[in-house]
Amino acid sequence: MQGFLDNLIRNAGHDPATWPYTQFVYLAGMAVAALIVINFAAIASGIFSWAERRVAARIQSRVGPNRVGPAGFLQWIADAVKLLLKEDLVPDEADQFLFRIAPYFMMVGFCCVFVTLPFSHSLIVADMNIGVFYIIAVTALIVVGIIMSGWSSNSKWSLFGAIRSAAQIISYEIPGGMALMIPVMLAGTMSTQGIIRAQGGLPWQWFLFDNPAAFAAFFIYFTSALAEGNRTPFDLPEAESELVSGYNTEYSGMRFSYFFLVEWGNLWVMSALAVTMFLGGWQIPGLSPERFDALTGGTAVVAEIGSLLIFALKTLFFVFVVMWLRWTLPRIRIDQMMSMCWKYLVPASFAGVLFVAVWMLIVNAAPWLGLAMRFTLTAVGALTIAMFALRVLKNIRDTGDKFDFTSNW
Amino acid sequence: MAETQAQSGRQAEGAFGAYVKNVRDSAKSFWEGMSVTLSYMFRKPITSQYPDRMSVSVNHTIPARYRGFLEVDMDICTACQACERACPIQVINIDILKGDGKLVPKLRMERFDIDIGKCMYCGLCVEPCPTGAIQHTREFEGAVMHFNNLTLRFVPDVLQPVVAYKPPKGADAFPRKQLGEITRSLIKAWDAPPPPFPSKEEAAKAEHGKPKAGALDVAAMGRQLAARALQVKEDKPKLQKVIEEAMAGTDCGDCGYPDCFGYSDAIAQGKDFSSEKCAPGGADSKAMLETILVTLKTGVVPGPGAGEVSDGSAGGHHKNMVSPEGVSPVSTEVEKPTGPPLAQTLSKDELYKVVLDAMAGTDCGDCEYADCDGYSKGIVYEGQTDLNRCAPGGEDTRVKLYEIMLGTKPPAK
Amino acid sequence: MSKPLEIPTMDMENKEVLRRIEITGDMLLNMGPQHPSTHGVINFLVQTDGEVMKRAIPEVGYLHRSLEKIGERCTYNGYMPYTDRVDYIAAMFANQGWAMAVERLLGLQVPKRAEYCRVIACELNRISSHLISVGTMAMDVGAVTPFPYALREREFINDLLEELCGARLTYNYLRIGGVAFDLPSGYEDKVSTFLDHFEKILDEFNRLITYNEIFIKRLAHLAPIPAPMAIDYCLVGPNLRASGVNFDVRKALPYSVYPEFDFDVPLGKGEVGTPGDSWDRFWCRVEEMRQSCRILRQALAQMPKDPAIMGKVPRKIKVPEGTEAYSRIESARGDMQYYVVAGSGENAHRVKIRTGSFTAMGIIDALSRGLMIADLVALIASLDVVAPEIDR
Repeated sequence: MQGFLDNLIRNAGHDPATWPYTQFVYLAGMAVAALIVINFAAIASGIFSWAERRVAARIQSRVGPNRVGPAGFLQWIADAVKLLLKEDLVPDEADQFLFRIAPYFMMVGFCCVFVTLPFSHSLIVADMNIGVFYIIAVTALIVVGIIMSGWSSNSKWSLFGAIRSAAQIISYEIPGGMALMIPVMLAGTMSTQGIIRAQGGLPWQWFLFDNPAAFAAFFIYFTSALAEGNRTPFDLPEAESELVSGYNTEYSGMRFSYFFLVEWGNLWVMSALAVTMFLGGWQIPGLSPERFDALTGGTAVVAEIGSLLIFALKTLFFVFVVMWLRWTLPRIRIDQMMSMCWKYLVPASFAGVLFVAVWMLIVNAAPWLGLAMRFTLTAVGALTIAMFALRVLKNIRDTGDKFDFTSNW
Repeated sequence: MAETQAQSGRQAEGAFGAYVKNVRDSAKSFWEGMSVTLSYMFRKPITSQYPDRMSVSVNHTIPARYRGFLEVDMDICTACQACERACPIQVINIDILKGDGKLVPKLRMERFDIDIGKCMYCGLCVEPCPTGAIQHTREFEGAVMHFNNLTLRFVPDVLQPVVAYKPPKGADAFPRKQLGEITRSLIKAWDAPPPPFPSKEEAAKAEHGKPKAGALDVAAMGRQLAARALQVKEDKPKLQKVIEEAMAGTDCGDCGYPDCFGYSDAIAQGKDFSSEKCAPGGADSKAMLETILVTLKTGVVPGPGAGEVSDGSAGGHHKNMVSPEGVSPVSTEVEKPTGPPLAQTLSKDELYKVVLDAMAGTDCGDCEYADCDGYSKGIVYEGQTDLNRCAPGGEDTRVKLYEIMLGTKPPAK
Repeated sequence: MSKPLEIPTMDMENKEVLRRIEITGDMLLNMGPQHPSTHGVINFLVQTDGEVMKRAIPEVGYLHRSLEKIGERCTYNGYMPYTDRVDYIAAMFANQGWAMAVERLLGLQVPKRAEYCRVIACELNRISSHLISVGTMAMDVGAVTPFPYALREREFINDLLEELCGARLTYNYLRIGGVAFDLPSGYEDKVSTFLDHFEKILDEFNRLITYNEIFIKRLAHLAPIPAPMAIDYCLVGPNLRASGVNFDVRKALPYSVYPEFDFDVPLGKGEVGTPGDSWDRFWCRVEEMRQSCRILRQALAQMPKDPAIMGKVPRKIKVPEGTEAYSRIESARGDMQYYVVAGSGENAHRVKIRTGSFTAMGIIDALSRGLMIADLVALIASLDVVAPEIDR
């Protein structure tokens, strides 16, 4: 973004290095970028709340909200307005100051991630060269917000939820971080755009199918991201059937909606990160990054929009997968969650890192091996998806129903 | 040594095997579960989007036996009150007017209310109905703004009582309006205004307890029937007809006989001596039958008795009525003393007992004394002049206290 | 068991819990009476140090409606709708218990066809009650989806029972001496179609949740009840059979026409955990649904042709005062027993209803030492307690 702003200043006839008002332009640029990104995050999470309700309903053989707007699309606006108009309740016994600022810690931790999250070929707020490291560090602010909200509510139930959640999140940072190191090693850089550029558009050019450890690392990262986002099967902190609502029991109105904004917005973040790291990001199949950079004029704009669409579609697919998992799996208990993290995921992620290190040396010596592995894994992946689709269709046939996606909408 | 090593090796393998098995089992069960849920994404949801996006109106999908709101077709209601008796929660309220059958119809209903807000839709009232007048409809949409509108009044106007239906002998099918028509018309717009409560003046003026025009004088009618029965004592069919006139005439079968003919025939033949089996006839029928039975046994019609005052409620008991069990009848009117008030004729202790008797006896403390005892003592010994304090006793107690203490009627409130 | 069980009163229990909490510094949590997971209004006083419980004392009575006292004011026929409300999820069984008790009072014989209608209605109700039980168990453990699936199947059964008797929840279908209505025309085909569809759904249900790894991890080895303990605490129904005790009133003390049917009684074997753990209780209910389908098919095939559905019942039921009768049936939640003492006139002098859920509450405290709160929820769900049955 700095380059973009510098170009603007040069076009206005000043030299960025010496002009006294450069910093103000930078500041204005940052403010505008922040506004756009936070709005995007908020609107995305609102839309995901609608999408989750529709997906949940159709999975459960129901219809979901379909009256407010076409297919109920404006339901989230109605909900947001309702929450805005609610009474701002701060319990008398609660710690007044902490209770009020806890949601904002979560919001800050969540929004800061968007700084290094790419959206398309050149749409990124700041392509830092420690991008991934920055993301992992900043998401830890969410834990602070959760503990603060649970503690300041002065309610046993909230405290339980907060402590469980804190333990869960900081435990799962480790396998998640290690799993993310694998694409970093394969790409040789921590910058998100750099990692995307090191991949390609076609499936066998993705890091997902690079080697078995990367394949496993994707699942390890995905599981850790689910745990960090408090999504089922790891949603014990907000287990409705046990703790009423965990750490956000005492919150109402807009403060309550901040928690859910962060949770649903996190869907985008975790999916976008998975797509960035493992699925080739915005890469268009057949168009290498260098040729992309060299495009000008109309084709550049078209390619740009294409890369945006590709990124969005891949991310939305994973958002759907997260929602689908939520409505399929039961909840894991806290001790089982801890044992899974420390006994299964952490050793697996360390083993994966070692394997990838060795593998990179092998591939250096024999490149054809790397290529063969990629093609094999892509074939395995495609076969799995095909078998799954057939299984789904067999399910429908077995109970005597018909494939029907469009009626009773 | 080698053994323990092998054992620990097997243990390690067991642990690793369990590890791998865990992962494999998880993957397999997730695969199965997720395929099931994804398959439901692509099936038609089972929801019926009632009420506006239904392919078929709900009223056509409800089965025939559905127990919705109750409906009574007054054209075929025989006023047997079997439904009222069958209801476990007393939701049906029927008020009957009895007549002599000549100038005035024998049975008329001036009130037939069913409170569908309280009804539990069990269907026990539908079964004993001899003509099928009361039925469950298939209506279920009854949201109203005013709770009182949930009482369906099948006799809309008290001043125009509905005559009971006399089913033709041997009939087993009774023509009825379309099911649901009557109830639908009674459940008006959901925000219809509630029926007005009667004002205090109207309630005071209500002719409660006074005999209505054309009402049945049970004692006189009982004596007439007894006299006629005595005349036709030997002719059993004619005797049966006389006895049947003492019954309600609804052919409901509650007495255990298939119809009124059966019961009256049994009495005429001398096979049955009980007088209390006619449930719809109630106390009136019991009294009349007793009179007839006593007459048949003794051969003498009982006289009217001294001091006969027809001031009871419609069809009420007479104070000097002869009854075999010797149970004294209930008197609903208070003795009207003609001399000085009791306060001046009795001693204080006796007066205190009489006053205590007149209270409700609930010891509630509403009178601001500790209990009924305290209030009575206050009136008698301490000169308490406010005689209006007994809330549970109400108007009754007030009237009594005024008469005891002052010998007058209490002033209007 | 280390110490003999003393039965304290509620006051004692509360004071003891509070005193202990003061000393040890634990927390006293009130789970309920309004809580998404206690099946109805039940309160649990939980003494916990944060995650692990020391005690969990159930507090019942929030849904007490004096049904047994009402039995003394109602006629025998008029009490039938009240028995629906004793356990409104499995209302046919409550109806049947009452009908059988009063029929024994009168010495009535019920026609064969009426007995078959009763079995069909009751087994359909058993399936729908178990559907709610397994659905809510899955929901309490976190898998929300099986619950709407179970409810969807239950809607089909509700439609079937609505066609049969006119109501979807509180049926009032049985009468003293028989049943209220005969099967409507075309009913056999409808029930057969439903059974064909339902058995496939049961297989799908098993694949979705019963053998799900996380579900097994949550429920296996959770609060296993060994058979002697189950008998000591008077558990009944699937709770008892999951511990391996082969006691089903339909087989052990046969009533109605159950001896004419061929069906199995599923016993818990500890397939994925300890015998008698929560997963076994879940599995037991799923298998019982399958057996109910078997019974239904046989009942439909063997319906007698004689169309009488009501015995010879007097118009007013009056029994000599002091006559007693006792009936025992296998409800969805176990052994349901009715004890009736006839009064003078048309009412009973005393009605006593014994339900399985009430005794199941007694075992919760003994099982919950050392469990986590998430486990308490799963335990209550696995015992399939419903508040109306506990409190009546």
